[in-house]
Amino acid sequence: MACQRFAAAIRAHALGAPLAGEAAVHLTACPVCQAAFDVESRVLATINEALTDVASATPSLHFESRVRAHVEVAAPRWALRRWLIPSAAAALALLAVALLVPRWAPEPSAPREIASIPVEVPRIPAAGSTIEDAKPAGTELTKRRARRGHVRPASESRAAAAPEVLVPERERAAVGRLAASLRTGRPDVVSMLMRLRGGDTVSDTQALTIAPLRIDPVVISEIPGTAAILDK
Amino acid sequence: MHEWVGRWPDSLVSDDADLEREFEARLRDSSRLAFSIAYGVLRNRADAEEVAQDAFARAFGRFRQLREREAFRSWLTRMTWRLAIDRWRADQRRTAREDKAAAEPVSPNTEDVASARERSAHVWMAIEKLPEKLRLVVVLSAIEGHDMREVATLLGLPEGTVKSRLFTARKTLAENLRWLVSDLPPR
Repeated sequence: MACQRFAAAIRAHALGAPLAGEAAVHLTACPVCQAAFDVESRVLATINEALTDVASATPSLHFESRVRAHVEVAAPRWALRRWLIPSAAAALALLAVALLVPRWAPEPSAPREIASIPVEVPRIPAAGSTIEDAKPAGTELTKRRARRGHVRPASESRAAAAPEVLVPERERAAVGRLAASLRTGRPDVVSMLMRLRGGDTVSDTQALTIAPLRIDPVVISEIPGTAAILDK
Repeated sequence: MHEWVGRWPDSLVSDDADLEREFEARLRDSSRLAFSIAYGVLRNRADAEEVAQDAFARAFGRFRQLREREAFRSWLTRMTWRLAIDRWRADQRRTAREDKAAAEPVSPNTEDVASARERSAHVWMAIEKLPEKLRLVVVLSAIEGHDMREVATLLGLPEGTVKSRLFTARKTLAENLRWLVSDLPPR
């Protein structure tokens, strides 16, 4: 009866709990309870023995370095940012340079080989019409905008007053002659086709003459044996 | 304002470098702990190392969010424990599928408890059947150098709670494993 009363306390004692005075006296006097206490102690010793497995387990030699490598592979965004920010800044700087450099570049000087010369392009008036009729009429939209003052009428523009054509300097003389020939109604085809090299200038249209095409005379002779066929 | 804008990338980068250095120190300090916790659940060195690696990778990913850096070990303990338990459950399911026909439940008889190794296996089976919060206390207290105070710190619990849980755990284990020693010769 007393054993049952102290059984829980004795088991608790085996687990490390202190034993009250009366239970302690009973334990020292009762062989049954001593046996029960012994079993409990051995169970706990077995448990502790198994748990020492955890305490004694050690990771492999390079465990820490492998963890480090694993962590680096699975680096989070904030760790990548360490490299991302300088890279992004460099990319932005390059982009800015690429965008700004063309604006900062010096204005191209007046083309060395290109010059503008006023060219008058005569309009060929239709029969019975006046020169005024030949002026460009402009579209309906242009007219409307001109009325509102948004644009000047084409006839008032500087281009209309003195039309400019960009012509390479070395071809300027030739183009001038072409324009003059057009004006006179005698187009000089040679001027149109010529291509000067090495800065040569042409001052005389005679220099632009090309050798006439040589055409050999065609000799027509009879093919032997065909006379009879032709006679039929 | 202008100065701040000019400096912010530098400060962020240096913050990140500091964080990495700090994490490195934590890794040196706690790698063994993570391994032991994982080993306490899985009892396989390779698996435990794998789980510990995963735990550290996760910890590194969220390290910036950890406000109290002193709580790192506690944080890592919970993370490792959770990963190890998940792994253990997955292993259990896989093993159950693979050995469904062949496996026989371990019956408590004197033949099974012939060796210390087998006794240990039975003990671990009993530990695995414990409620998780008791199991965690058992494993943590088994790790070398962990007294009640240390376990309480790792779990963020009062020391009394840890003592109570450990007592309950050992009592449950003793009740479940009493058969194990009943036939053993007294020491």
